[in-house]
Amino acid sequence: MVTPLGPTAEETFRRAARGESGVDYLSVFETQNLPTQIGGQVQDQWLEEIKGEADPLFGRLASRGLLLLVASIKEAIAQAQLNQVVERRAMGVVVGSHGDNPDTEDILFFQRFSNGQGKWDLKRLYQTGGYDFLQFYRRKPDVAATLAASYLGAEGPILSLVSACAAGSQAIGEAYRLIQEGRCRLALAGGCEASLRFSGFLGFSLIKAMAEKYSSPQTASRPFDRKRNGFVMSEGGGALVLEDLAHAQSRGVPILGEILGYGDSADAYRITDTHPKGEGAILAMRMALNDAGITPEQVEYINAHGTSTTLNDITETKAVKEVFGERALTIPISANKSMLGHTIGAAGAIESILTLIGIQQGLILPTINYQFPDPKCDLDYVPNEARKQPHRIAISNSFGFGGQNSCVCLGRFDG
Amino acid sequence: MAEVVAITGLGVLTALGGSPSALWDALLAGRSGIGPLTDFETSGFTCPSAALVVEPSPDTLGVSPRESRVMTLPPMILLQAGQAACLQTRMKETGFSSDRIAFFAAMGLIDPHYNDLKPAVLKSGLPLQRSESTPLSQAASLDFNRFLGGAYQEIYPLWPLAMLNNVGFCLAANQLGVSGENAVFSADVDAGVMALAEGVESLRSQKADLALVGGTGEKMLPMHLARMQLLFELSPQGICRPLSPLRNGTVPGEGGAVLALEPIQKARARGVVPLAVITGWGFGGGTDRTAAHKKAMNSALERAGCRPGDISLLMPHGDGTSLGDEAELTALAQVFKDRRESLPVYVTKASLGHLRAGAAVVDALVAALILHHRTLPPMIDQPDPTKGIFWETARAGGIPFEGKKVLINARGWSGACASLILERGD
Repeated sequence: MVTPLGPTAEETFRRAARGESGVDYLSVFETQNLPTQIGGQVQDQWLEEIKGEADPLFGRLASRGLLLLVASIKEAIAQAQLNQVVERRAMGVVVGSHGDNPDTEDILFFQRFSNGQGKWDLKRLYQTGGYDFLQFYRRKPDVAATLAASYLGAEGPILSLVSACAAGSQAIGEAYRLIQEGRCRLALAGGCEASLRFSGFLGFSLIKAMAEKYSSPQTASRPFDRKRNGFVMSEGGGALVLEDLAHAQSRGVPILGEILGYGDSADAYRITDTHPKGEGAILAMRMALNDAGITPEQVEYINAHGTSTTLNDITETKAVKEVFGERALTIPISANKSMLGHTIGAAGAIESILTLIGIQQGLILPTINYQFPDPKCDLDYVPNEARKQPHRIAISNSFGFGGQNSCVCLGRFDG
Repeated sequence: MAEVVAITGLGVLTALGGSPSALWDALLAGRSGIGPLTDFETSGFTCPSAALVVEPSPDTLGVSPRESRVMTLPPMILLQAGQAACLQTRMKETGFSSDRIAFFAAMGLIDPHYNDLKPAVLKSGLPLQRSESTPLSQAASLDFNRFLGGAYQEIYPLWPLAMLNNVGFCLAANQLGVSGENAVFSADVDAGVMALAEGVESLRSQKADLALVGGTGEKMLPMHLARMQLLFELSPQGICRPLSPLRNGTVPGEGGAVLALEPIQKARARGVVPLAVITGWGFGGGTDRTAAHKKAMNSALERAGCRPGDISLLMPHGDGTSLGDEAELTALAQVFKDRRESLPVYVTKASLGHLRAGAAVVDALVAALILHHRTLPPMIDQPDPTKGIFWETARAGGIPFEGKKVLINARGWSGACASLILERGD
C-alpha cells in the first residue's frame, strides 16, 4: 500500500493510528486561483525506487497511477511470498483503475494539429513525438491490470474494473468470486489512482464536491462532522493477495485475515447524488452480510466510506441505521478518509487493508477532525483517537460516484 | 451440475440498425455498414471509413435534458439496447425486483469532446485570439492565469465526469431501473466475454434473478480514430477483410449490444423463449497471441464439456489485420487440426467494423440469432484457404444451419484473448 501517509501498509496504519493527516497544500500544479488548493500527495521519493529498478519499457509506460500500483503490489507480493508459487495459471489479477485522464494541456496539444474546421495533420502530430501511443496506452484502464499480471507473471484471469470510488473494493469482491468459482486459486486484488492531475481535479472542483472551506489542509477532511464541506482529493494504491485457504495453508504463508462476504449494487437513482435513503448502500451491505452468512449482530466495526461530503455522510449514516437497527448506535464506525483524503479507485482496497490490520491488532482507527457533532450523523464515529478494542468481524463500505456501491465483509482468521 | 443460463432478450445498435431484426436482415443480405467517414475531415488519417451508428435521440430513450449533456454515445447504446433486451425478456411484466437484476458491461474509453472546452479556452486566450470565430487550435496558447482565474468555470460542470465510463454505465443503469450486482469492465474486446461470464456466474450463484450484460465501443471522434491508427493496422481502402489473404487492416466501428440472461428453467417457466445458452468461456494472455488464443479456446471448450469436433460454427475475432489474423488462423489450425469435415465460419467485422469493447457481446448476439433462425449469413470475403482448415461459408441470402454449438473468439489490443461458447436454446 502506498498512501499520503506512507510507502507501506504498516507505516500508513501506524501514522493513522496516531491520528495524523496526509493532506497538505498541493505542489503538483498551480492551484492559487482554484477554490481548493489541497490534496493528499504521495511523496515522489517513495516511487523513485520503483522507477529506478524497472526495465526501460516499464519506465516508458509508467504513468504515476501505474507506479502507485506497482509500489503496492510489490509489498503484497513479498508479504504473500508469491514468488514461490509455480503454478502461474492459478493466479488471477483484478485491478480497479481508471487510467490517467488526459490533462487539459494534452487535449489542447492535440487540437493544434487540427485547423479548427476538422482537418487533421496527423503527420505533424507524429513528428512532434509529443503524442505517441504511450499516451493513449496510459489512458486505457486495463493497462494497470495487464501490467500487474505481467509484473507478477500471473497467467490466470485478468479483470479491469472501472467503478470510480468503489473500484478498489469491487476488485476485492470480484477476486474473491474468481477464487470461490474455482477460476483461480489465488488472486492479486487492488486499486490505484493518480487523481491529482489537473483535469480530474478541475472536474470535481466544478461540481463543488471538494472541500473549499478549511482552516488548514490537515483539518479539511472531516467526515461526519457538522462543518464538513466536501472531500479532499488524494492519490494512492493498495493491493491484497487473496488465496484459497487450502492453497495458502499448503504454502505455509501467514494468513492475515479472511474475506467473509461481498455485496455490490447500483443506486439506480442519479449520477450526481446518492440515493437519499441510501437504498443502494443498504443493499450492498445486506448482500455482503448474506454472502458471509452472518447477521448484523455479529458485525463489530464498520469502516465507513465517509467522504466528508454533506450528503454522503448523512446517507451512509441512514443506511447503517437501516441495516443494523438500534445496534447501529453502538457499533464503532470510522472514516480513514479523514486522514488520507479520498484516493478514489484505490480507496476501497486501502481501507480494506487498514480494516484487516485493525482486526489483527485489535485497534480501531479514528475519524479525525471530528469536533462539531451533526445531529443527522449520530453514530459512534470513533472521534479523533484510535480505540483499543478487539474485534473479529468488520465491513468496509465503498460507494462510487455515479451510484455503484460495494461492501466487503472481513474477518479474523483463527485457524 | 452448473445451472444452464439462457439468453432471453436482445438489444443492439450498430451501423446496420437499431434492432436485432434490422441487423439480421442486413447480415443475411450481405450488407456492410462501413461507409465514408463524413463527420469530420479524415485527410490526415490512414483510414477514410468507419461503421457509424445513427445516434439515438435522448428524448426517445427517456433521458432528461440535464443528463443528456453527459450522456455520450456509449451509454446511449447501452440504454437503447438494454431497453430492447428488457422488453423482449418481459422484465417489467414479470416484476423482477430491481435489486435482483444484475448489470455487467464492457465499455471502451469515453473521449473528451474538446469543443466543450472552447468557451473557457476562448475566454482565457490571448486578446487577439478571443473571438467566437477563433479556431480552438489557435486559441490553444491560452493564458493559464486567466484560465484558472475563472475562465474554467465556463466548462459545463459535469463535462470532466462524462469521461468516466462508470458514470455512463450508471446513467444507463438508472434509466433501466436496475440496482443489483454490477461492474464495468474495460476497455477492449476480451472485456465483453468477462462481462458475459460474470452475468452467468451471478445467476448461477443465485445473486441475481436476471442479468443484463452489455458491451459498447467508442464514439468515432478524431481522438478515437487517431488512437485506432496508433494501435492498429487500419485499412487504407477502408475495407475490412477478416481472415482473407487480401486483408490489409481493420476498420473502426461504433456499436454495442445488451443481452438479457436467465436460468433456462426459470425462463421457460415464464414462457420466455431461450434464444441460446452460454456454456463455456475461457481466457488467455501473454505476448504470444497464438498461444493466448489457443489457451482461451481450449479453456472454453473444457468448460463447455466439448471437443473441437463438436463445434458447428466458428466466429473468429478476425479484425482484418495482417498479424492479428495470422496469429488467430495459426491458433485455429492447431486447435482444429484433427477436424476432417468442413468448418462453417462467420465474421462480423466486415459488416460492422471493429467495435472494440462492444465486439464480443455483439458477436454473441449474432450467434444467438444464427442459432435461433437456423441460418448462416454470408461472409463478404472468403477466409484464407491455405491454413489447413476446410472453411464453409454461406452464399448471399444465407444457408440453412442446423449446428448446435458456436465458438466465438475475442482479442484485445494488448493481446488478452477470450473465447465463448453458445449453444442452441432448445
